[in-house]
Amino acid sequence: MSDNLKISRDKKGNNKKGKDGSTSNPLDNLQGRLVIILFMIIIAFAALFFKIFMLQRSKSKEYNQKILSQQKYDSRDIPYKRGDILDRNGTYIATSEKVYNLIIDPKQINSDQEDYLNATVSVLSEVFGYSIDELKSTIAQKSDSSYVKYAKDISYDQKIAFEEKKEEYNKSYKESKSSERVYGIWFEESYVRRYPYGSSACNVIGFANNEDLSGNSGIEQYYNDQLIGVSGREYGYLNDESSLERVIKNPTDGNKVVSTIDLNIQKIVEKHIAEWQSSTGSNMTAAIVMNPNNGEILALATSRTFDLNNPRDLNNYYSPEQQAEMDDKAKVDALSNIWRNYAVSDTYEPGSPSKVFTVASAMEEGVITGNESYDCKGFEEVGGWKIRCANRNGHGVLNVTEALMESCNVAMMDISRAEGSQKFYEYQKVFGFGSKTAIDLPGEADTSGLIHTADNASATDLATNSFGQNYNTTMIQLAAAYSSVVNGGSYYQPHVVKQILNSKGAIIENIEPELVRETVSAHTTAFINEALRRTVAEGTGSAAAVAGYDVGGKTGTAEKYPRGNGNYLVSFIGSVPAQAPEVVCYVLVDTPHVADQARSAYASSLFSKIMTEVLPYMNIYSNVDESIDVSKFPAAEGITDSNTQKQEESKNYSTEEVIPNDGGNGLPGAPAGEGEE
Amino acid sequence: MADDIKKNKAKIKNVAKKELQNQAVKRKIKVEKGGQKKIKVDTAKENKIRKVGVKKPVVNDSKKNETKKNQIKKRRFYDYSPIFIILFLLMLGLIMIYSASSYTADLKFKNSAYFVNKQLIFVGLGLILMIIVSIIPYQFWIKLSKPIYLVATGLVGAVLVIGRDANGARRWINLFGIKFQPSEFVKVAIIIFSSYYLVKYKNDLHSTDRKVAEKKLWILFGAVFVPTLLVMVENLSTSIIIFLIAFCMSFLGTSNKRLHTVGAIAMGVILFFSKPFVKFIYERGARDYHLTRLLVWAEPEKFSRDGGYQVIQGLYAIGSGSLFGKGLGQGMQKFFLPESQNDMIFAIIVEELGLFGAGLIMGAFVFLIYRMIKISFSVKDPEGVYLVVGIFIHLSLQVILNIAVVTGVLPNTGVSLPFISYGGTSILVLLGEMGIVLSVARSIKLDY
Repeated sequence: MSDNLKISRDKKGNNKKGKDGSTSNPLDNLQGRLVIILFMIIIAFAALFFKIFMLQRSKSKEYNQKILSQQKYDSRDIPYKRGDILDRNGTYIATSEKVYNLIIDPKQINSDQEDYLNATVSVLSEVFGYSIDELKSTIAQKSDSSYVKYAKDISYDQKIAFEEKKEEYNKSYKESKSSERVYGIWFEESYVRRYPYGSSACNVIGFANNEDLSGNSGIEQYYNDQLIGVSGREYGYLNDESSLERVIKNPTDGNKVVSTIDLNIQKIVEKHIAEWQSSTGSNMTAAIVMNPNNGEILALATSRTFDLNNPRDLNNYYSPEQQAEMDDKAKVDALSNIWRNYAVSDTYEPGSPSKVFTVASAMEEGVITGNESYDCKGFEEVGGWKIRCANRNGHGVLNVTEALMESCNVAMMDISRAEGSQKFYEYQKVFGFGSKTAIDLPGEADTSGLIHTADNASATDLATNSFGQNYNTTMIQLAAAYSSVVNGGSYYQPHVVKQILNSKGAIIENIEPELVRETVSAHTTAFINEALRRTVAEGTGSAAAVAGYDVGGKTGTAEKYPRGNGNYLVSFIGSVPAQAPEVVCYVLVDTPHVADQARSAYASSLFSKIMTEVLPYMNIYSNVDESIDVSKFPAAEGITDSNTQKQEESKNYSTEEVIPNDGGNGLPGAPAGEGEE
Repeated sequence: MADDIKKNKAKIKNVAKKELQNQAVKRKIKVEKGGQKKIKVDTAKENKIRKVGVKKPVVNDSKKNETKKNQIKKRRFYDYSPIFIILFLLMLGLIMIYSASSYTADLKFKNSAYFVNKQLIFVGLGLILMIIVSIIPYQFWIKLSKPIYLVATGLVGAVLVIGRDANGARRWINLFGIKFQPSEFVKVAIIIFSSYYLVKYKNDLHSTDRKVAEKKLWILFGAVFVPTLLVMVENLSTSIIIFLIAFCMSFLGTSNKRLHTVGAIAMGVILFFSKPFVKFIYERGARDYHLTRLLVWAEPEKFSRDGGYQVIQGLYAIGSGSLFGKGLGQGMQKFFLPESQNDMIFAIIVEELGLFGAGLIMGAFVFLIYRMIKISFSVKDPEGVYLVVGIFIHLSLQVILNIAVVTGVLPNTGVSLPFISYGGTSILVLLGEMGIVLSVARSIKLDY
């Protein structure tokens, strides 16, 4: 206000000047009086400003409290319903159930304690079984409040039961001319999130916190903006007669999300993973089933499951004693580890399945035609390192198809050398390694720093990369890239959601398959598909065979860091039918709990078990007559004959290792230059 | 919304920079041409004042603008600073109306910008009106003062008969499909009529004979009482403003002291004793609509169910906004303050923008009033002086009464905050009045 005073002083000065100038002018008088009025106006302004200041100083706390308290009483939020999540067949896999909070209004009850208190409390105790003493003490303690949330999660039936009892009592009080009434109780709507299938598809669905209804991991997090709605509001306002009126603005419910997941396939996959985990077990077993022709994920399961209805339960992973020892941070870390979606967020060296990409890219570039032959002596020296093949005795002379069938490292090194690092890494990019697939799930790992580029790759890096060592991928990257190779060269963005519906069920958005780029030509696809078919029919992937089906696929056995500890990550990726795949399934077993881990058959046989159930379900028919089936395909028995199969395998192939890399080579691939010196 | 303000301010700042450069060039010209010492001194003085206190960039650049104009058109004094202040207030008003009304508007009209859009139209029309009026020489209105007075009086009489009910009071009249409040026009009519009257009878009013002067004053009061009483039937606060405008203007237009002194003392006494008096007659059992409002004012917490609700909620809003408020759009009281975009908008402003926002708005009004007084001092023609003075009295009365009501100092009477409150007629009338002020300012000849 200091400037105001200045102005007025200034004005006075001017005024005096005017007076001195010409005293006879009647305006002088006016100016003098004007200054009086101006002075009064400024005093009024200053006084009002001071009044505001004082109001804030003395009443700020009190008024803020009042505002908050009436906020609850006069207007309240009406919760919206979080959108459901459905699987592709319309099965509800996540849904919001309406429940009620029991609200006691002690202020109303105390407004006529004699009439209301006993009647109300006795009905509450009768219907809900609350202790009468406790109710009374709550009402006495919070006698000024209008809003006491006494109980949560009351079902609709309980609410109706209470309301019926209340009517009944009030009626009988009325009839008996008693002034007692049940009064001052009401119910507030609320929603709880329920997952009818518990831990099923937990990594894909994620869960929503019941408190703030925000999604955590999975679709619940990624599609949170779609799933949430807008809270409604009931609020009081004054009408023309200055009486309080209530207006209800209805909430807008969230949209429904239809997933590409097929709950039946998901359950088949989960069943077999659980069986495997309980019989043999591993650090991590995971599988992805997807449609290679549009990128839709049909099932995604890992052995790291949790109950979506009780996501913070650590009992499956930690004993009560262990939990007691954990502090809050340790618990949070443990939980976030459990909630982590391995298939999207974790990276590893893919191993042999990447040989498919090495061959495909070389063929695409015309570096090989498919008729070349390679002589495998069991190892090859590259950049001063002696890199061994899976078969230490050497595969002998192989053509390209046989190199894939036998999973020969030496052939791959030769092919990649012929192709040159420039083109090899260009194709790694084309296949999407090093970049995110942009799958609609949160927490996808960024692998851009975990691969080599043509600029920084040495000859050794190129050689080891050609058979899937020394760079990291995620499961989803590999599955998407593999799908593009077997489907004729269309790289589709993998996705888990196909449709968004509004709360009434009308379609808002269809999520169309997104073709990201073309990877290979149809000719390459045909060659690869045939080679993969033979890999399963005659080569290293025989354990993956499914009776009556042409299965194409590639095994993988990658030794984990640190090398030399005997820890392996085995995998199998396959497509059915081999020549025109309709489904791709990728199974990965990390560190199987067995002495001799280096057998891809753990993954292949899991693939076979899953596909044996999934294929008929998907109406993919066997390509052979039932009658011929038994006699002509003894390989189908490979699943049961797995013992002999495995032994054979362990002798001949499946162990792809990089002998010299046992030092402290950091990922991805320590610069070979260093090793040379 | 906050972005809008920032943008606006940034824009203004840019303009200010340019003006600064312009000014430097102009100064050179000034030295060459010489003369105009008075303006130079004024500018220096204003600069000093600015350095001491005034916070708004709006103020700064508008002044430079003025200086620049002075030098280009030596003969015309065109004062831009009030225009900037008015635009600032209108803009802030639109933002605050949106903040205060969007929720209710969405509920009632399914369009959260319902009130803002309507107000925007009136602001546009009002600005056009202001420009038109500023071009018309103000003597035009003085010549028409008698018919204007008669028409306005006739309209407030007519509204009692054919008026439309809105919010429980008959204040609206429908003319050619447009709704308006004639009582707002009465305010202008009284300003114009008083200007005419005070100049016409200035000799009598300044007569040393007390009786001659007082007789002329009583005639003026009589003329003012007619529309005042007609308005009072439905709208007490407007009638009080109408009367106070005439009271203050006549105080300036006479050398008589007695009548106004007595009047002022009487008003003070009424104000001072009304609280106890109201309580007293209430205890004696008197019940009445107007009385209830006064009771609410006397003891808002006690009578919150009888309309004290609005006052109390307004006080809560003011009291809960701290130094910088809860933030634009963050206020909670708009859900409780009925029609918060109207008379109680100042409460929302204090809640959301805090003491700072209150100071900003009050500072803007003080500056506007100060500019108007400056104009009135520079005008030689007495009729122009009275017009400007009458308008500034109207403006300040309305600001003071509005804030006084919102802060609970005066009873809740329904006075809108100029340029900021929602209301078409009020905006049109006020901007029309500003047009008159600009028209008067234009008449100032500088080459003397």
